[in-house]
This record gives sequence, structure tokens and C-alpha cells, in this order.
Amino acid sequence: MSRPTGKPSLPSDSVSVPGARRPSRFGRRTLRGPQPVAFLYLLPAFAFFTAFALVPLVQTFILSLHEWNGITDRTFIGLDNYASVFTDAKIREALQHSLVLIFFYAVLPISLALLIVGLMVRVRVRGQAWFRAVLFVPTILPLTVVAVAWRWIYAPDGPLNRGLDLIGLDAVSRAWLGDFTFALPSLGLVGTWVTFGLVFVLFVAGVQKIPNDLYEAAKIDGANPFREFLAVTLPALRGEITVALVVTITAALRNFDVVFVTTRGGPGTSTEVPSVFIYRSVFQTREVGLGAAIGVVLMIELLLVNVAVLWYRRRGEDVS
Amino acid sequence: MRITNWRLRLGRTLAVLVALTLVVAACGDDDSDEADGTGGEASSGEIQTDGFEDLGDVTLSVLAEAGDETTLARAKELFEEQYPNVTVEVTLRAFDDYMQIAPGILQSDDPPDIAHGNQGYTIDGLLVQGDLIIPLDDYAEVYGWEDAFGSGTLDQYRFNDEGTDFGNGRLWGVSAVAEFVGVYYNKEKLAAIGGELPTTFEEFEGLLADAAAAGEVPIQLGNAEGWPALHVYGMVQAAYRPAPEIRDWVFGEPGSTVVTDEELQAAETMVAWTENGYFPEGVNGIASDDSVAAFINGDGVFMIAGNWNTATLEEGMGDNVGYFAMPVGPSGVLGGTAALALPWHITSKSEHPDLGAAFIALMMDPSFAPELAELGRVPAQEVTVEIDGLLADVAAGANQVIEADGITLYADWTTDTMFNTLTAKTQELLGGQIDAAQYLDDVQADWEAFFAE
Repeated sequence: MSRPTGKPSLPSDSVSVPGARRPSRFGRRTLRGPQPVAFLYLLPAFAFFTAFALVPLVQTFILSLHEWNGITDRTFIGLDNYASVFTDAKIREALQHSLVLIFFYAVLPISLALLIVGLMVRVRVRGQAWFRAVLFVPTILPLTVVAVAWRWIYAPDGPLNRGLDLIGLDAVSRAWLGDFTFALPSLGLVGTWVTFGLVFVLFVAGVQKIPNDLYEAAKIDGANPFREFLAVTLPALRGEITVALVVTITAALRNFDVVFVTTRGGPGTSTEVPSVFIYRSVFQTREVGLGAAIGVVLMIELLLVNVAVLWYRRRGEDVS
Repeated sequence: MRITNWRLRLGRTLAVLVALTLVVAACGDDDSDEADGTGGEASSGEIQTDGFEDLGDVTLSVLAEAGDETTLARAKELFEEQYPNVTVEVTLRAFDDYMQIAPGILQSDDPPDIAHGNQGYTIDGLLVQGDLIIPLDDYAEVYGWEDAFGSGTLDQYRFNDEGTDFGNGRLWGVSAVAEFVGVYYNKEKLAAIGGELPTTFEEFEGLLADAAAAGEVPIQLGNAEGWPALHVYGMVQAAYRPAPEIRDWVFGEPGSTVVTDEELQAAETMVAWTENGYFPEGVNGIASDDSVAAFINGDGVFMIAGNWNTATLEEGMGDNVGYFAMPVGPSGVLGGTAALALPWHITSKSEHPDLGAAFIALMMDPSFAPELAELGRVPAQEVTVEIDGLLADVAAGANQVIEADGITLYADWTTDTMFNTLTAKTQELLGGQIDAAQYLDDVQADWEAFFAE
């Protein structure tokens, strides 16, 4: 063992980290619990967090209990806005669409990336760094740019339809973003394209940390590639998968740019998502309270999903 | 709430040839302009209309939607020439941006002196409710705006003092610019299918059939945004239903409804046009800008669109493009989607309301109309203007509609949610998701919900 891996599967004392044997004075002090002065160091960060996260959050919640057009006095209406969020068919539809987007933003790219990473463990690909860089490009592009590009790709006489026509699939080609059935999946695939690079790079980095011994051991035990993937690669990537899930699910639920630039929720209401609804409520129909309520519900939904992911991961760790 | 870019203005058209008279007749009920005399911010009694030289150095700040850039530049030049002590300071914002931030800016401690609004509840209603702007009735009287337009035309700038009744009550804004939706046509294509300019709606439909039979796209349209087809519907609607009834519905007159036989015929016509292939395939997936580009490139015999496209089309097609008002249909009233431009408001906190009014009056004055025409805009009052080219066609068409009392306003002004309802439902209608009757029921449901409150 030449370098530390930090994998939970390896007992930590088998790893020789320089300086790790001798606990520092700081380390010893931590064991006795934090000194009061430590809180002072947290103060700047906490002040920022309060000013830019906590206060707006509380304000949003207070707004969500009011009816307000943004100009005249607001009226307290209790939980009426929340009742609207859950009873208004259009808002419910938008929340459902965001669940569909979770499939395209999170489930699909993670599955794809796992599949490819699983294959790459066996085959050494030349020019990996180059591939990684290229695949990462969508992640660093501004989403509005991505959306404009895909609007062109999906256009009735855009490259996608021309390609389909070329290979004789004229029957399939259509105005993808104007089609009531295909608009939402089409937007979803844009999300897949965007998040795949990040997820893939994350997994490749994770796989490289897996010691070769484990794969050799699996081979000696006669594991086929599939078993090897399940027994070695997948468990070792658990941490990366969790991070990927949290990041991509968040991206799916707060998706605004792509929808706003391409379809604005149309055709009809077929690509309506909560964040576009928030925009409309606040800036178009001037129901600031309703917009705030949707925002709060969206935040709670995000929190719940991510807590579930983290809880599932912790449970998995306990089992192993 | 209106749409993204329909207010992209016309560019410059040389003022040379055709003399034309625009007469704005009364449009709407003439009895709706009674001021109710309550509320008090209105400047009373002595309104100062000239002699602003004595004010010393003053700045008049103007917040405007970007489409008015050239108009304001010209007005500023003239106003500062007249009053060298006055500096007109103009701030411009693009349409979407403007509608989002304007109410907030007008509410701030240091708002501009005059600013654009937008007809209907989402902007103008809000500004009135928040006491952010002042009524202009007294100025209208002094400057004679009502006489120039006919009081009914200005109803789109009226609200009660609570900002809850659109189309009635005091006058809160004015504009001297008209905006029309009409039919642009490709002259070569129309000649190729052996067509002549239609004089009735039936003839127009006949031309559509001929165009389709000849393998052309009869009506170029891109409806990804939802509002372009709404403008087409507005024209078909006016062909079947008299304009005054449509305006009543927009103003929320009790008992108004779109669930009528005429509207059903109109909505079914839209469905039939879609099924007959009169619109391009995948119409809901084509961006409106792309459809304009396609029309310029010879794809489409007709295009039903707003006059803000005039400069772009003329630049792209030269003499090959013409314009006419949708010819009269079964309704018997030649009409269509049209209105005055974004209103000018004077803010409540302005220290120089009379000065602001004088600046607005300069833009409203008949002597400014030729300037407007030269800037490619259609002046909306009784003036003689010399213009040529496509703008002459547009102005002539607009003139016909005004004379026939056929202006139907914008349906999306009707309620605060109507823009979203109409764009979504129109896409569903063209996409075959709902039938004509369902379309009208859904639209009326929005109307009922709003006016039941």
C-alpha cells in the first residue's frame, strides 16, 4: 500500500499518513470540546449566512402567509396560499413535471455514467483526460447558452430533424419543443446532457481511488465483470453517487433557465415547472405571497429528497 | 401583461410620397369618461402649460420601454430646444425587464417624473391601486387630448380610483402611437397563386385554400411563445364578432362572455386552418422571430402580425411585401387586434407634474405626428402625414379599422392571469389538445374567476 486511500473498507491504522501518529495540540484540545472563543471564528460566516440566507428565508415564509401585489399593503391570509399550492391543478402539474425532470437530471445520467465507468474499469481508454474535459464542458456553460443552443437543435428545421430526415426517419421528426408529448422529455434530455459530464468526472475520479488489489481479488474469486461491478465498483462509489444525487436532484427541482429560454412552460402547460410559476406569480400576476409559498414548498421538497438520499447513504454505511 | 418583443419598433421610413389621413373615431362607449371627482392628487385649477423657462435649471427624468428610444430622442431634442433650462434624462429598459421592475421603481423614494405603464390590471391597475401615478383628466382637458382621439379610444387608459375597474373612471395615461395587427403578404407569391387583394373574409379564406393547393404555406406563423397565434385569433374573432362586443369583454362588462356562437365559429375556424395545413407544421415549436425570418425568405404567402414588424419586413423584402387590414367578415364590422401604445404616466411623487405633462403634450401634439411617421411609427390621431412604402399600407389599413370602429384591444389585458391562460390555451387549441368549445370555456372560466372577486 503506497498511498493513503481513506476508503472505509481499509482499517485506518494500516495507512501511513505523515504526522498522523502524533496528535497536535489543537487536536487534543478539540477532544475536550470547543472553547468558547471558537464561536467567535464562526461569527463572520454566521453573519453572512444570516443576512443572505436565514433572513430572506424567514421573510419568504412570512410573505407566503400574505396576499400581496408587491405595491399596496399586504393582507394576512394564513395558510391560504399553501392551500392553493396543493389544490391548484396547474401548480400540482408543475410539481409533477419537476419529478419527471429528476429522472432526466439525476437518474438517467447517474445510471449512464455508472455503466460507462463500469466498462472503463476493464478497458484502458487512451486520452482519458481529453474526454473528461470535453464531457465537463456542458457543466460549466451558462444554462441560458445551453438552452439557446438546444432550442436551435430541436427546431423544426434544426439539426436533429435534418439528421432524422437524412436517415429516413422523417416520420419521427417533429417540432420537439412544440409537441405536447415530447416537449418535457426533450427538455429533460438537455438536463441529462448538462449533468452527465459532472457525474461522469466525479465517478471516474472515484474509481481511480479504488485499489487494484480489490479487482485482483475479485478476479481470483472468479467474479464476472457484472459481479465485479456490483461487489467492488458500486460500493466504492457510494460517496460519489450521494454527492451526484444531491447536486443533480437540486438542479432538476430548481430548473428555471432551460424552461424559460426554450418553452416558457408551453406548449400549453406541458413543461410548466415550479420555478417558472414563482417567476409568473411574482412578476406577472403579482401574487407575491403565492410565489413565496411555492418557493417554500419547493425548498421543503428539496430538503426532504436530499435528506432521504443522505439517510439512505448512512444506512448503507452502517450495513457495510 | 403583454409579450416579449411585439413592441420592437419600426425603423426609419422616409417621408416622401403618399399623403394619408388618420382619423381616430370614437372606439368604445362614449359615456364612460365621467370623472367621479374623488381622490385629490390631480393638479387642479391653474395648470401651467408654458413659460417653464422660469423654473431655472431642472431635470425631467423619464423611465421608458426601449421601443420608444428614437421617439424620445427626438422629443427630448425639441423640448430642450424650447426650454434650454430643462434637461430631459431618459432611462430605457427592454419590454420584459421594464414590466418587472417599473412598479418597484415608481414606488421608490425617487421615482422618475414620467414613466411608461401598460394597459390592464397587471401594470396600470397596480400603479393606480398604489397611488403611484396621478390622473390626467385636467391635462387632457387643457391640451385637448379627448377631442383629438375621441374619448372612447382613451378608455384603455381609464381606471376607477381603486384600480379595480378597467376601462371606466379617470384617465391615467395617454399615448399618440397606434399599434395594429394586420395581414402582411408576399406580393410575388400572391400573384403566383393568381390571387388579388381580398375584400371579404371569405375571399381571404379562399386565397388560403388556393395557396395550400399550390403547395405554399398559406399563413406563416411561429407560436412557440403562445401570443403570435393569439393575434391571429384576434383577427378571426373580429371577422365573426363585432368589435364593440369584444371590447366589452376585455373591459369586463358584466355578462360578457366568449361562449357564443360567433366565437365558436372563430375558434373552429382556427382549428380548421390548422387541420387544413394553413399554418406551418409544428407551429407551436417555431419561435416567432424565426417565423418572421421564414416569411422574409419566401416561406409563406401571408403573415398575420403586428405593425412593429414593418421595418424588418421592408428591409428584408423590399417592394415585395404589402399589408392590408383583415377584410370584413360575417360580423359586418371590419376589425382586429389593435390598440394605442404603452401609456405615459406622471408619477405622484414628481415635483414638476406640469412640466412632465408639457413634455407628454409635445409628443401628443399633431405637429409631432410627422416626426412619429418618419420614425416608422403610426400616429394615432387626426393628422395628415406624408409617408411611403410599406408603412403607407400599414397606416391605410389602420385607418380603415379605426374608421370602422373595429379596434378590439388586446385580449390579454382582460384579467391579471389572462395572458398566461390565453397563450397556453391557444397552443392547446392549435395542438389539438382541446376543441373549440373547450377553448372558449377555459378562457371564460378565467374571466368569471377574476370578475367574481
